Amino acid sequence: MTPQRYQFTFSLIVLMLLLVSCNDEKVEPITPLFVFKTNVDGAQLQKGTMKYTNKAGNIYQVDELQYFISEVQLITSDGQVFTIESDSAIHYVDIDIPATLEWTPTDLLPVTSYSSISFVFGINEAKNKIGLFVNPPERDMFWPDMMGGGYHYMKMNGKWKATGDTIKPFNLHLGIGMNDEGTVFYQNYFKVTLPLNIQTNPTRNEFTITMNIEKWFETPNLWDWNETGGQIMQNQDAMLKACKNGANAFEVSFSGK
Amino acid sequence: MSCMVLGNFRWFISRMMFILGIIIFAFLFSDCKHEDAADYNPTPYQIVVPKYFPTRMNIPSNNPMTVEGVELGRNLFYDGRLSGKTHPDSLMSCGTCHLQSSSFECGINHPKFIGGRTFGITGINTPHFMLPMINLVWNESGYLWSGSIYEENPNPAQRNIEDIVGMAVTAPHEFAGDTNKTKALIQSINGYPELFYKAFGSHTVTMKNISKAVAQFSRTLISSDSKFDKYMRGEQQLSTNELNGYVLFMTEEGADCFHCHGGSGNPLFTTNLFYNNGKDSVFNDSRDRFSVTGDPSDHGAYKASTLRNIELTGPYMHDGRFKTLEEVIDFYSQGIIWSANVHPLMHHAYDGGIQLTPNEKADLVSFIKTLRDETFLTTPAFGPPVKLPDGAKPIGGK
Repeated sequence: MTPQRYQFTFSLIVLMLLLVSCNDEKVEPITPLFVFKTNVDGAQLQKGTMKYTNKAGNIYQVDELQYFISEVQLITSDGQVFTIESDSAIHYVDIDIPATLEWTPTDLLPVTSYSSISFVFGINEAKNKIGLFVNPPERDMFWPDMMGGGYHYMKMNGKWKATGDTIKPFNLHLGIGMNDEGTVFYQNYFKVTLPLNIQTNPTRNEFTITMNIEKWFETPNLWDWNETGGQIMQNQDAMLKACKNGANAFEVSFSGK
Repeated sequence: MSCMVLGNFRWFISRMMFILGIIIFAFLFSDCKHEDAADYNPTPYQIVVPKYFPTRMNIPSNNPMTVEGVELGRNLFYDGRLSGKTHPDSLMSCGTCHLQSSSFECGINHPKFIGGRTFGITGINTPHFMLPMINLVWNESGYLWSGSIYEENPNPAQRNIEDIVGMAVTAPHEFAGDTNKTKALIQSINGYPELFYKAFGSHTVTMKNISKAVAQFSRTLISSDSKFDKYMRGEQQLSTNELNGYVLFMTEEGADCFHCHGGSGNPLFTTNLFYNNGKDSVFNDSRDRFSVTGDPSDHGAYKASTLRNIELTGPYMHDGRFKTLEEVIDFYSQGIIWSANVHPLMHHAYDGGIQLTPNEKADLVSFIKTLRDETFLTTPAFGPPVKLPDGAKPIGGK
């Protein structure tokens, strides 16, 4: 074998090693897709139909549902935290606007195994300021400035059959709470953490976050519209009760390939 | 032999004539194009977005706003010959009903449209009472009381303000005209072809360009300088009564107006969405929101109108049933009729309304009057030009 041939063979081996080595290490990070669904105890929500009964026995219907989630974090099996930061890290969901029911943030996540997902229901104190959203539909979630300002975390509008079979409207609106004098304000946003046991994939990675409406009325606080009344924006005790229930209102599932 | 030479010569001449013809035709054609494009250089019209106002605007990509387009639109808006007719009794412009001093409604004290009831050239009433023309550039949810003019409308002729202009020309309850006559008449008026050229690059008047120009002008009608705007900007204080009214306006246990009509977080003072606000229990209007969505829950629902300049835009509601602001507030306080179609945000509906005291009602009116915008009502650029392109007098306006 001539020296030139040795040189050529050596170069070829090095090149192949490099290529093999690159292929081994080059696993592209993935873009997650978040899908938002709403159900009532497992059955898809049917809007405007007085067909649901909560644990307290209230017969009710839901007509509109709008809410914010923010600060979505995915935690790997070895404890690393990846936070979704694009789109202001805040996503608006409106069951009447299909485009809001899917969210593809531009953040990239490594392909690995994840043990949990968490998010803030609502918007944290630092970000929840008037002027954050100037365009609809998010803009129309604004919360009165004299009541703490910022934005509603959620508007769930519907009707229930009150005592005596009277139909009454309810507005389960959550946001910054205040005392009766309007001198003290309470940040009612809360963190939801859901277990995952998944391995993400190089192509499609879909996280489905499902709100079970009935859970807002069950645990730990039994919710009876006849006791709370239909409106709670100026009732911090009721908002706090609702928020504690709301922490149990979500599930997550994953599909990927 | 000579015949062959002669034949070849004729063939040569005819071929040369043919080529020459093509060259002359091409030259003429390119010359025409060149002439049309020579000094067509419209200036982009920039809308300055006031603080807290939406940054996203409803301007179709095929009708970008230009200074020249807006100016042409302003002339057409106030030209009674937009009806396509010249008889003095048949002159009707947009400005005939849309008066700047009444926030581009006709107002309840109009000498011709008694009680604010509008009708067209032939005397046929409009189906509904008027809506004001304010901040239309930020409406993404559909125009008119039912929102029937919206971007995703399967009917491409009913998608934006441009389409409303064409509808106004032909509707029996408005100009009752013919678009061919309108464009022919506008084409024949001295000065207009030149304005069309400056705005759109062609001297030929088309209904499409008429509509585009009027729509451009309509999108410039921006209100952002009321007393409340000044309060939000820290330039002016509200009185005690006005502040009391503001708190009522913005609180759920008060009058709770803000969910549908906006406020500090939505300075348009409307969500531009549609609600059944409990005026009736039987719904038989063929032009309500149901007529657009087909959703039974939308029976009796109409657009929440903006409250800017609302004190000038009576009578109120789609059917003009309330003459004064006080009557409207009485209705929301004690007169709401409960039905299964009432929107759940009307949460006081089951006991007839928000139950305000006389003082609270007065405070609420005081606050609502802070939404009057004198700048909007008097800005010369929104009003009629001194004269139309041929020197004729504008119709309507102030």
